[in-house]
Amino acid sequence: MKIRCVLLLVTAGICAFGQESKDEIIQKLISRVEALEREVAALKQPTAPVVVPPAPAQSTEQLAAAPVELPPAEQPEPSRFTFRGFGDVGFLRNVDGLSTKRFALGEVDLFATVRISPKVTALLETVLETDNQVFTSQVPINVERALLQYRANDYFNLDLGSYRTALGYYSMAYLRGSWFQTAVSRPRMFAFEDDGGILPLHNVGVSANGRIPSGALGLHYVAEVGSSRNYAQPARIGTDLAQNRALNVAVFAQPRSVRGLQFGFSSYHDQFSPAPGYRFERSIWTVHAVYQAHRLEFLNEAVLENATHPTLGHIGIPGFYSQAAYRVGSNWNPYLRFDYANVYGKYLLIDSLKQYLPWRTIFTGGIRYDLSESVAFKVEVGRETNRFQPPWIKAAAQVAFTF
Amino acid sequence: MRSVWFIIGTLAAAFAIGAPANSPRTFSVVVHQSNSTSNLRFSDLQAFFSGHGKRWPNGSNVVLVERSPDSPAFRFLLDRVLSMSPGEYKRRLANIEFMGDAPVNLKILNSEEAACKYVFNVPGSIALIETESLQTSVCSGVHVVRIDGKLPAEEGYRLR
Repeated sequence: MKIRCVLLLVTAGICAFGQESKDEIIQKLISRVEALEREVAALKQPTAPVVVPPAPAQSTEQLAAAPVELPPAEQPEPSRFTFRGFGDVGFLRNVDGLSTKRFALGEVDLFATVRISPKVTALLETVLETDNQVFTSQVPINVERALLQYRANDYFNLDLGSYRTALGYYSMAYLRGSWFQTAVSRPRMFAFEDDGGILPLHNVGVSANGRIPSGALGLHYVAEVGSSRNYAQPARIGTDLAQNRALNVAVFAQPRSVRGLQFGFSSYHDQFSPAPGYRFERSIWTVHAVYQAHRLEFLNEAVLENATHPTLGHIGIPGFYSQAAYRVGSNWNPYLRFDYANVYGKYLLIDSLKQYLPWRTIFTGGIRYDLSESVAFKVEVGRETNRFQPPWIKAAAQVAFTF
Repeated sequence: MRSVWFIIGTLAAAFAIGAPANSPRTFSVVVHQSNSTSNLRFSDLQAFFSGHGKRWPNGSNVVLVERSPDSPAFRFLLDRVLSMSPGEYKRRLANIEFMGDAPVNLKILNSEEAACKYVFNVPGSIALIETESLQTSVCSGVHVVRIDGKLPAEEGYRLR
């Protein structure tokens, strides 16, 4: 009986391998047909101008004008390898209420995907964090995402590796790459873990995601099991010293009838250890409602983070932000944002927590101007209130680009 | 005061006479002849070209065929269908892949004929082209899709 089972498994494996090989052959044939198509076009019209503007996406492929009769072809696939980089340079004034003015090199984000087979993709995103640079010769390199993705169909996809946690909207849409986001700064609730952020935006584990059959409602799900990151900096308050399991479930809707609308929630649970010997049961709930269409960007998210200790008590951190932007003309995007966070609860180390989360409100206003399709210039002014110092005005300018 | 009105009236008349009597351009959505989809809602069209919709009802992948950025068809797509600037559109498509989703399958072609020819050859493709291009022999082999139940020549057609 065991031998039969083994034979069946081997046969199934060979079949699967054979299928993968067929797909590879089809891909090679398609590539070959397209190459021949270009060659024939060039031969037919040797003087035809082939002046083509830059493509708007990595998977874009451009052809010469002359059409060529071909038999109906198979579905073409996007290119096997894509690479994209993001960078930004800025000028900051009084960002924390204590400093003066300085230029700042932001992060350099290198993003690449490789299609290993029609259903398997490798994704790697590496960030050179120059803002956390302590010594001139040492630039922290952060493996932001390293994923092996299996895309079975619209309803089931599996990501294995280091992923961004599906907490709310902003973290999913604008994890890195300042060029993507309208504003200079991120909503403070979604600050990165190593920049004093309170949310576990990165996990290592398994993430399943896909659509939920729901018709025009357009429901999607994300289910994640992993461990939150340990940044190996025990001295930093808030570092997740415990490598514990984290469970996260997110559901969101993208109704077909209202293009650009998305709303949903997420529920995250893990064990959190802000200092050696202290282990809290942590839960994070988020809700979001986002509209991005017809020149308007309207982002709204609320977060409630709870942590409970059997003897020390519990703490809660409610927070939200609301950001509105409207495109004027083809390139100008003025925006406004309001951030809020608070701390409450029974916790012997509540003062430490307040040190960890000192800010209360941030009003931000600014404008983004797209110098080209790949370069954006942003200017921003904000007013921040803090538990431990008087309110202050801060300002920032940034040039963000992609390449 | 009377002279002001006279000047305004003269200018208005001059503009009315000088304005070209051009009829608005009409655009058509074309797909492969084997595609069983004969009608698309305007929201479906928006979903396809914004990268939200990546599959046809039969499960096959959508291949977007777009004209070059300086073409009337592409400008109409951004201005009237998607309400996006070229920069926003680029960000939108790049963000899909950045979020870990499958990238949009997109071809950019620099003539209407090339777009028709590509759609003729690739079963899952869809293109937005100028309606007058349908009169060319190259575009005779593609299938014109109704938008919200209407063809380009019908009253109330949205792509004009």
